[in-house]
Amino acid sequence: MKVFETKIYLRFLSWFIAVAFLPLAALFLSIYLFNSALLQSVLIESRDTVLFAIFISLALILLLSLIATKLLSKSIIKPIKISVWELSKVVGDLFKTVQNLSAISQNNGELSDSLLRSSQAQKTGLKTGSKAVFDMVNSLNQVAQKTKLAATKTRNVDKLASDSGDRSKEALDSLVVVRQLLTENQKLSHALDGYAEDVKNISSRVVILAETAKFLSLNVSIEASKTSFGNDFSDLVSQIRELNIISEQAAESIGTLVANMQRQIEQSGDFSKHQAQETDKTIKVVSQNIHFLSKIAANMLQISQNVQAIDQETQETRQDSEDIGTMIKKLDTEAKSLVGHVDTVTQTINQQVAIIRSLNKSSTALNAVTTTLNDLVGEK
Amino acid sequence: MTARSEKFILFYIGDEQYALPVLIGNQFIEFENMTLIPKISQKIKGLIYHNGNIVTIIDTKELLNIKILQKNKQLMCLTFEADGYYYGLLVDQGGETLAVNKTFNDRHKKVFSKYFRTKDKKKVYILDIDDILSQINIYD
Repeated sequence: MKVFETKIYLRFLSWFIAVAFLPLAALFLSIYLFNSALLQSVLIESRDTVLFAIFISLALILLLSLIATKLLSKSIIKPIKISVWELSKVVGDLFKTVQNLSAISQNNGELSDSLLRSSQAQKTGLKTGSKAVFDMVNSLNQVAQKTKLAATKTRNVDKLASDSGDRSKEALDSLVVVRQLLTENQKLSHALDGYAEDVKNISSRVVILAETAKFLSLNVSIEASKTSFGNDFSDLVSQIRELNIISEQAAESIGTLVANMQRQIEQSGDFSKHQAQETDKTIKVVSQNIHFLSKIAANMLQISQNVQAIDQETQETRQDSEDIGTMIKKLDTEAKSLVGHVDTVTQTINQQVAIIRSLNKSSTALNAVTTTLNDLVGEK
Repeated sequence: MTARSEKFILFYIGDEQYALPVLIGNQFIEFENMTLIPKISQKIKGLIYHNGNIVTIIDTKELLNIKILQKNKQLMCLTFEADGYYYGLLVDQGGETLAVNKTFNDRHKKVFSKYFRTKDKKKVYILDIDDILSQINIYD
């Protein structure tokens, strides 16, 4: 370090010189003011000596001031240098720290923006989710209502199927009774057929009788015409003719009656047979119906149980949906809180930015101080 | 002078009424079993046995040349005796016996030309025994 390059050294030197000259000047000034004659006499008489003494004094003052300045500057500049060095180091670190803080603050800002956007998106999503859950709960309520209705209807159908089964069984019993009656009717028809056959035989005999009467009548008429009898024989012929007519009519009536009776019996038999066949078919159909109804009843029971299970599941799902809704509400609250926190974080980041700006200013100021000190101590 | 009346037995062939003079052995009979005679005129249906007599059954429709497809439900004939033989005319239905005062002759017919009219003016042809026997010509 060069002595004259140091401002503080020069200042110290100037100050010491001033301090050394001021008493000397004061001395000469006071002598001049109080006793100018003395000063003049001294200057005239021992001018060279005084000048020499002054020169020696000045030289001594200068030397002493130089030594003092050097000693003082050493004791002052060293800690200042150390401080300036440390300050330079601190300023560098502070600058780096400020830069890091600025980068962190920027990251925090981006993070805060991202968090804000995320929380807003989350809020929107939660609103949508909440609405969806609300719709889902409504739908599940409707499903639950319809399922309950379906369960009720299924139970009714099940009951109806059971009732139908009972009624079909009753119908089957009635049909069995009808079948027995028809069997009895068939037996009766057979018996009637036998009677009709007997009547037919009787009718054929009556027909033979009528035929005989007819021939008797014809031949009696012939015989009557051959010989002349009295009125009594004529009456007899007339009676025989009458007998013939009556027996013919009777034979015809009986024949018609027998034919009708036989036809009706045959029709009745056929009808009974047909009815028996139809009854058999109906019994078969009703049996199948009972079988089907039993199956339907079993299936309806199964469906009823399934519907009840669906109802239970729907209720549980509705409960779950309500839980999800509650959770979404909580999440919404949390998101709102998060938005609040994000605001707080943003505020903190803003404060941090302000602090960083302040630190920057401080760093600049420190830089200026360091420069000043460097300038003061002569360092670059 | 009163006209001498003749007695006739009426019978039906189909819906037509015919008459046979009242003779010995006239009788309406019904029969079932008839014995057929081989290689004989179609006018002879066969023989039956009735009351100890052999009766020759004459197919009246063939005799009168009547074409009726309807067959008799029952075999019924009107018997008569001629020259000691018994004949039976197959008829569809027997009729009354009546006395007729006046008979007529149908000039357009060669055989069975005699007829009389009933009260309702219907023509009833008379089957004369000689005409019948001349037509069948079985026992010469």
